[in-house]
Amino acid sequence: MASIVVLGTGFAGNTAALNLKKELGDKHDVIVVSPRKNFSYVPSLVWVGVGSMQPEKTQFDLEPIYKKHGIIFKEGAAEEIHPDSRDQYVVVKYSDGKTEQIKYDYLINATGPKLNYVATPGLGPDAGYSDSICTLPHAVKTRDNYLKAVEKMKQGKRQKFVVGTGHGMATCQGAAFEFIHNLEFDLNRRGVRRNADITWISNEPALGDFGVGGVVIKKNGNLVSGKLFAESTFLEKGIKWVERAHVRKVEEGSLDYVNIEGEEGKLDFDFSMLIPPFAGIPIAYIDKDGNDIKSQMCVPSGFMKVDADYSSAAKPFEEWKNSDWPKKYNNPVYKNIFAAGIAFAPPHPISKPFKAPDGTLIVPSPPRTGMASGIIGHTVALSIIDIVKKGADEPTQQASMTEFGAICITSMGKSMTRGSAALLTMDPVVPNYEKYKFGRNLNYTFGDIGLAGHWVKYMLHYLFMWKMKGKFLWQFIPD
Amino acid sequence: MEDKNVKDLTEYIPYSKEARSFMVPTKYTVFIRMFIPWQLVKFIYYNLKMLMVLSKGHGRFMDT
Repeated sequence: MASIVVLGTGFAGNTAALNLKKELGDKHDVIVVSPRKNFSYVPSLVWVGVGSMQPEKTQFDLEPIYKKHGIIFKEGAAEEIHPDSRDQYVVVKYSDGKTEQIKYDYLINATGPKLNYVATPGLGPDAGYSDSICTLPHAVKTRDNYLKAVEKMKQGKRQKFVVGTGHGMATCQGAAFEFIHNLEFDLNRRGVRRNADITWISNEPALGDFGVGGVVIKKNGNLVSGKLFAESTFLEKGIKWVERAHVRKVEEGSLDYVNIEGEEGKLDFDFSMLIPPFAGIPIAYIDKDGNDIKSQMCVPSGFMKVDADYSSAAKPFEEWKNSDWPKKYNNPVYKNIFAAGIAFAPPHPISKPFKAPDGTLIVPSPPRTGMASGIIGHTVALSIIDIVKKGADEPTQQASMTEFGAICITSMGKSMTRGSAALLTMDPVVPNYEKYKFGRNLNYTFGDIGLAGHWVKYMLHYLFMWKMKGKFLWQFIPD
Repeated sequence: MEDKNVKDLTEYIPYSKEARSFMVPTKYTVFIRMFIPWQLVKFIYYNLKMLMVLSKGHGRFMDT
C-alpha cells in the first residue's frame, strides 16, 4: 500500500489528488495537506475585485468533496520535508499549534506561491498601500477600496487608478490586464468613467508580452504581433501605459519606478492594484543528519528544483533552449518528490530579460496559469499511478511547457450582452524558435476579442468549478 | 502628460513615437464584437479552436 501526499489544493494539487484517488482506489492512501480547506477559483477574482461577482461564487469547501472521494484531508501547513530518512515524512503544523508527521512514499509539492510583497517597499494590501487580487480576502479588500473611489467619483471628484505589476520580476500580467479592463468597463457601467484617469504599469518588455515572450497571430490575412492587439485595447479605451518598469517603492498615493533605460518616474494614484512577485512557500528540507538542505532542493526564490537544466539561467537569452524546461517534474535527487503548478522552479524566464543601468533586473517571471498547473498536476499524478500500479522505475509521463499549448481568456468586462474578453490560444506556451519561425504553431495560436470571449470565460468558470468539485463526469473535463 | 514614459494616443501626432505603429478598432469592428448573432458563430468557432489546442494536449508517454 502506497501513501501519496499532496501539498496544496490549487489547480495542480486538486487535479492531482482527484486523479490519483480515482485510479488508485482504496488500496492506496491519498492525503492532501493544506492550511486552507477552501478551493478558490483565482481566475474569477478579477470580477470580485470590481464587485461584479459575489466572493462566495469563487470558492467552495473541499472537506466534504475529499470525504466523498475517499481522500484524506489534513488542514494544516507543511513546515518540514524529511526526504532522506527511511520513513520519509512531512511535518504538518495545525492551527492549534500541534504538529504531526505524515509519512509518504510519493510527495507532490503543489503549494503555489508565497505572495512576496516585501520585495517592494510599500507594496501590498496588508502592510502597504496597494491592493491585490491574488487571494479572495485581498480581492474583497480591493473591491471595497474600489467602491470607495467610485463613490468619490459620483460626487464629482476625479480619481487616478494605477494597475499592473508591482516589481520588475512579477508575473501574472494577464490577471492585471484583465483587472484594468474590468475596472474600465465597470466605471463605464456605473457612469463615472469621465472622472477616471487609468494608467497601466508593467515590467513587460512590451505590451502583450504577458511573460510568455509575446505572441504572433494570424489575423485578416496578416501575421500580427500581440503587442498591437494589447495596445489597441488601451488606445480604444483611453488607458495610458508605462512599460519595461520596475516599481521601486509604493507610498500612500504614489509609486516610484525605474525603466530599463534607467529613466525614473512617479505615478500618483487614488487606487492601485499591483501584482506582487512570487516566491516559493517557505518549507524546510531536512536531511537524515538534521541539516537544512533547502539550497539543494530549491532555487534561491524558494521554488523546488525539478528535471530542468538550471545551469541555463546563466546563459544569455539567445542560448536558451527548449530542452532547458522540465518534462517529468520530479526532483533530481529525491525522485519520489514532485513539484507541480507554481511550486516548480522554471529554469529561466520565457521573456527576454533586461537590466536597468543600476543592475535592476526587469523581466516577467514565467506564468504558470491554472491550465498549465492543471496539466502538470495531472501528468505528475499519471506518472505516480504508473509507478504504483505498474511498477515503473521512473515517471512515465511528460508535459513540457515547450510542447503543450494553453488557452488564456482575458476578461474585459462581465456582462452577457455587453461584456467582452480577449481569447488567446498559444501552442506551445514557451516559444520554440528552433521549430517555428515565429516561435509557435500558427494553426493553434489564435487571438480574438468580443462578446463570445466573455461567454467562454463565464462557461469555463462553472465548468472548472464543477471539475474541481469532482462532480459527475468531472474526469472528462479537460485540464 | 506628467511623465514622458506614460504612453497614450489621445492626441494623434503624425511621426510621433506613439503614432509609429498602432492599431485602433474601427466602429464596425467594435460593433461586430458585440453583435450577438455573429458572436454566437464565434462562440462555436472558439470552442472548436480550444478543442484543437487541447487535443494536442498533455500527459504523453515519455519517448524513452
